[in-house]
Amino acid sequence: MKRISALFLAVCLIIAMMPAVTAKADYRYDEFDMSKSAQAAYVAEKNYNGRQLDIGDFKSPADIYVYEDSYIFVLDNGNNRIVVLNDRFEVEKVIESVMQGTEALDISGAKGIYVSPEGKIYIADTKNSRVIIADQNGTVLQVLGRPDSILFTESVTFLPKSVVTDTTGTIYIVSENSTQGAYMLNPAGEFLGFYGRNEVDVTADVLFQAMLRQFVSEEQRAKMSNFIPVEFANFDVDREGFIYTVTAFSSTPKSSSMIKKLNPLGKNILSKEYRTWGDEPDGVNFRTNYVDIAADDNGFIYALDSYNGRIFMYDNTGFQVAIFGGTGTQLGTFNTAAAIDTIGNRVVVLDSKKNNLTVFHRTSFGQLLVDGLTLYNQGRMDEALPYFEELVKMDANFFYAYYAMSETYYDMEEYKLAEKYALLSQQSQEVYSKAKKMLRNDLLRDNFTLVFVLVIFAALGVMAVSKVVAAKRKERYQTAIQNGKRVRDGFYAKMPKWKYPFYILRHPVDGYHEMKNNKKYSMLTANIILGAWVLLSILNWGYIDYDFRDKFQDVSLFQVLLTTVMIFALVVVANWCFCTLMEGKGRLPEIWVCAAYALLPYIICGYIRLVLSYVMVYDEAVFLSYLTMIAALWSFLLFLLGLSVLHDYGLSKTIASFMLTVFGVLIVVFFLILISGLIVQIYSFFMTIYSEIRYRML
Amino acid sequence: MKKIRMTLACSVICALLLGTICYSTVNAEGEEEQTQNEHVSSGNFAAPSNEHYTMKVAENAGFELMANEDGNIAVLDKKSGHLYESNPQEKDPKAIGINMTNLKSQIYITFADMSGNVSTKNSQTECVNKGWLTYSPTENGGIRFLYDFQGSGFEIPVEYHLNEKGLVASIVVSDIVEQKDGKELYLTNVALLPFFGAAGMESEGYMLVPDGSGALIYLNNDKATYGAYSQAIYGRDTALITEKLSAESETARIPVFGMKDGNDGFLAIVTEGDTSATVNALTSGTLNSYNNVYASFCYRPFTRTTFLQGNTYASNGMGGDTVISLAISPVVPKLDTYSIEYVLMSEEDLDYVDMAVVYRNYLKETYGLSAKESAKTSPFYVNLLGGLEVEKYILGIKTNTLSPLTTFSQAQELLCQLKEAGIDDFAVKYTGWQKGGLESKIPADISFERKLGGKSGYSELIEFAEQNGIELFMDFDFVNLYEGGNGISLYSDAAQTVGSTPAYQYTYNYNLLTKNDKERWEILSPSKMAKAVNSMLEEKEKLKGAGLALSTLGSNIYSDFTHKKEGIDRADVRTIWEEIFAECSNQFGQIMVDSGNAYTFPYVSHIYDVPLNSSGYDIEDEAIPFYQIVLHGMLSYSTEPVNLSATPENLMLKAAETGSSLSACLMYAGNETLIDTKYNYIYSGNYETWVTTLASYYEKTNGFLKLVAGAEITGHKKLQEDVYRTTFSNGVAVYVNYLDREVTADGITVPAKDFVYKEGVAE
Repeated sequence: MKRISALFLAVCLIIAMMPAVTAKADYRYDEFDMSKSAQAAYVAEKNYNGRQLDIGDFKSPADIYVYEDSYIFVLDNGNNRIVVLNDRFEVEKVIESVMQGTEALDISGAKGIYVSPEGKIYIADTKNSRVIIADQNGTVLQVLGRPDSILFTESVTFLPKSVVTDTTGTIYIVSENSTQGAYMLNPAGEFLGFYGRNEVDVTADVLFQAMLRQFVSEEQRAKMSNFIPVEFANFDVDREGFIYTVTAFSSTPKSSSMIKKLNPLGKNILSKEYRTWGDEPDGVNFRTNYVDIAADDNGFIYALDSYNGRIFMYDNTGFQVAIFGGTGTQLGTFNTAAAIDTIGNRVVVLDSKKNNLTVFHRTSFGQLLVDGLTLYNQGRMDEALPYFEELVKMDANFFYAYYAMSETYYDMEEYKLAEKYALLSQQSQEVYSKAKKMLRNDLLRDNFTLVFVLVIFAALGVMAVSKVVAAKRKERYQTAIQNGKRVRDGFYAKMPKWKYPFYILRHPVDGYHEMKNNKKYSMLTANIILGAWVLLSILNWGYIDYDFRDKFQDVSLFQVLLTTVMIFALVVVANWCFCTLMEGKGRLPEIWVCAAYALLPYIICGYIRLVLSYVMVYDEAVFLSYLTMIAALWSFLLFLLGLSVLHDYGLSKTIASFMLTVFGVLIVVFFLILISGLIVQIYSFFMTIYSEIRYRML
Repeated sequence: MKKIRMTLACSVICALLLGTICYSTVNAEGEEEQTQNEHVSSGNFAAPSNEHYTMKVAENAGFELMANEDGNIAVLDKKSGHLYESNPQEKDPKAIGINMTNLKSQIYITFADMSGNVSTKNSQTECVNKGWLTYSPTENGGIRFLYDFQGSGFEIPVEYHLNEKGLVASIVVSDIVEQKDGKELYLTNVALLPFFGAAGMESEGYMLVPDGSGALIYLNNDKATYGAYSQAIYGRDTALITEKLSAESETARIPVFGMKDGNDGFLAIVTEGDTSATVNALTSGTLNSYNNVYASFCYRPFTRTTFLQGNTYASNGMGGDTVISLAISPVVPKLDTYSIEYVLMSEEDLDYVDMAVVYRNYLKETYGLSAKESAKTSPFYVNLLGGLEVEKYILGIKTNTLSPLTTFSQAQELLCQLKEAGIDDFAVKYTGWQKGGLESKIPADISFERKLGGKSGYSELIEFAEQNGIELFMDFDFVNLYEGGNGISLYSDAAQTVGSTPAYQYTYNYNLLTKNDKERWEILSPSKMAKAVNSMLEEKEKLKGAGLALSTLGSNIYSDFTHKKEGIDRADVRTIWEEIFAECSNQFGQIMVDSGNAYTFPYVSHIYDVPLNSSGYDIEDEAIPFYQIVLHGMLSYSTEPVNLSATPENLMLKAAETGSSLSACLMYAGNETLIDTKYNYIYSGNYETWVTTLASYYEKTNGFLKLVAGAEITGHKKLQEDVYRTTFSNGVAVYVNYLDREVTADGITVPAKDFVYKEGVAE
């Protein structure tokens, strides 16, 4: 095995010349985490480099900050200067140097800039372990060094890379290598504590390690990797004083807290549910590496990914609404995206390798999106509705709008439309269910008399039929007794084969005994039951009403067969194998039939659920899941009883044989997986050889 | 006995050795003789007017061509006195090492060996410095240099001659020699005259590159660090499989490049081998002190194959040694030359409009391009989507069912509504109407999809179109091969990529830009194309007089890299495509294509979705409507679909600036129909929601477009950032303002995001 795999195994083609192929830049993820084309919310408008602005090239600028939505402060640290642009991207002023008295401070190693509402410039000077506070002319007002606190040991380094203040003047500093959260300082520069620490994401690995820790020695424990929370990459503060933090990357971008919106208490107010921050990861080849975050006045969040040069736009609840940007040498793509901020309806991105600013402006689609979602998230749903209608008109792949529309229509008591958009949104089973209920109740109310009469008639009909059947059964019973035959309730001597499963349903032990004694196995009936099972699985997959569905992808017959008949066959064969060894009396076809009959309660229950799904809503149908569980248990018991009768086993032997069966199934499955893996490897081995031969034969 | 045998063996070996040595000496002598002969013959050239050159090769009314023994050539424009040199003569302190010899070279070659090493060599170090360059006069009064890359086993002949407009430089492809002296190397790329007319640090002007609608790179723009411009003409060869897409960009559709150096400059037209050409440009600063723009030609395309060693798990990222191997095209171009015609232009206020006019005249003279009837109209373009086959699972069984997007009768209703809303002039392209819809068989037979209305439904549509004066173009996709049929086999008629597998086409994931292996299809081999088209033409009566749209043939040209005799390089495919277009235009009169490549211009009357912008490469400074300046007044063309555009307002302004009609890509079915298909990029195709918007855009632009229809563009100017003026030959000028504030330019006030036109302007 090892030798084979050591040979050429994977082939991949890489085109030598990188040809210019057009790819549409904008996309969004759908509910199944597939990327889908999207109408652009922002388009790149223009680049600005230092030369175009007539101030000489920027030199590896590190950060930008937009002050009061009208001035862009560029930390051009390579040139030891700060450049201020206005909202028309003209140079307002250049702060040539930051002066402390007569000494010009070296800010070439600074990584962050911030301007407080009163106009003070904060520079996070990473290299020199300080935060410089200067006025608009570049005159230093205050220098904050390493905070003095017993919380820091000598080994803790203070490398501020980002700084903000809130409305009360409290200063927050993110330091490199700090896993404690942000440093919180009062306006005078005294250390107050840490703020908004990241938690360790609880993964299986973390849990396992934590468990392991209980058992290992002190020495070993010291060697184990420590799970410490990851440091913030950057942060931003909005008008209302919420602080947005971003973490560079996460191994679990789904439902983690890569982006947080913290209230003054340091609590994250963005829900963890249904969030994927950044791109869907693709093994080691692809990931998101956030470097900066910005929030606009509407609370929309823009996070900048340096790995792929992309900007991820989220609404104020953290829902992904747009993705744009990219890497490359064209307008709107980046080499090393370093910083992001918003100015009016524009997004400005700083590239520290291209030494330029790229300005994206909001499209009319983007404007609709921002306005609509802002209204919607304020709870003004009916006002937001026209925006969403326009949005889906311009971009049919905008599923979030469908979702919002289904909710809005539900509130407006337009249940038909609510159902329609819930279906389109691919994610809103709940709203669909609610709307279905209302529609059904309306239907019942409107046709009350008709429904009432129908129910009465149906009830009468059922009663009449059951009476007739009971009478017939009684008659048969009486005749049997008169003829001096051994009888059981409901059973009669000339019962056709196909009725056995139904009899077994109610009288398992007797039924199986009678079947065995009279040799009344019916392969046909068993296979019909199996067929019904296959059909049920297919129907449950794609045809049960929407709110009951738990799988949404298309299913092929093969998949269904694999999960039903194949497993069934496996169990039967495994049972036969072991029971033959354990002096079981049952033969293979008998076990097959017996097991198939046992499935009947489960299948009947499934069909009931299927039919009821169109009448009931999901919440009302909780009892159906209990029913299904009971039916499954019943099926299981029937199977065990059947086995015990068939093989002539006692209780303990039945259970033992069943355990062995399960064990056997697992072994077979294990081997199948092994073999299929091997086949795949052999296949790719020969494919590689084949393709290599073809290349070499050129 | 043994001794005798030994002696015999020894003598045989000696004899063999001797023979070889003798042979090679004789050979070498022979070569020397030949070389001397050439030198002797070259002595016939007269002395030139410039001291850097030793030979006056040719002279005509306007120009003098001179050369020296180092392969340098120069053309003197006698009228202006400007000397266009193949290589700058001054020493450049900035250029060191390879960059110094590059500056002195006339060609670069790139070659590869089978183990994946690709190297580039220049002619100065490999030929001139080693004395392996020879020259001789040619029959047409020019000069031929033979670059003998003995180190790598190539011989590349280059010829120059004058014509009345300037210089013609060619690589004689038919005489290229590869693998001389048993060297196992393959020529992959040749660059010709990389520094012809290169502009120095003091020059002012720009370079013209064919990116999209055209773009300018200002001389000495200090943007060299952003990387060179390099773009293949007509886009990539789709027979080469791309694993990962680069970011969004426009395609170069016109085989030209240009240089404006003060009042001197040139427009270079790639006249032969344009389908193999890549245009490259770089400004001064990083490698040397010059701004240069040139073309290189792809001789043998190749793909790099990585065979991973080690098990698959180790190979994904960390361990696993890789063995890189090249798959090199077994097909070489059969055309005679790669030729570039340098039209030398020296005039007051030389600009890109002059260059476009030169190119337009070239098309008129060489290809008989003439103003089509359609040029006098400015219809609203509608691309109707017919049907699409979608996969559905019915009770777990996969079935393909055709989902109608626009049936023939719905098309009538749709157009009626647009008409009622105020659009009175249409050019309709109907896509996906064949049996099988958008992904039908190769349409060598004409059959109408039954679910769209079939033959009778089509007849009604044609009648409707005739009654309402709607020009209808039925689209035929002969390129994409989704399934066999109509006499086309999926196995033997598909184009192959290098490495002898079918040239699969893929969709690409939007997030990773990697190819999506789940869905793939093939493309029809170019050598089978003519037969398929002809078989369609035999049945053309079935179309009942509708026009013909060849959307994919107009924008896509590709090779077939098979070892078999069908193998054909893209350079030679152009002729096939041209013959097809000529035949179709003969039979149909009116042809429409998508984003037409230059080879379609003489034959087509309508182009849908022309490039309106450049790709915005960092090194570029300005996008210009070169494409439109060439074509306006010759034929009719449209913008990209308004309903899919992110910035429809800007698109409308762009339409006015470039004299382009507006277009829309519409269907009758709801938008949600395409969500789960690979056509989900048509995210707002439903016509209903667009009728009034489209009509208002049409109304806004149509008055102006009708006014300038048929007129040629005589001027285009950036008045200030984001404000442009275009002038037309009938005296109309349009002022377009992309800014969100009012602007006064040229005495004309243009409201924010609007355009204003004026009649009776003379220029």
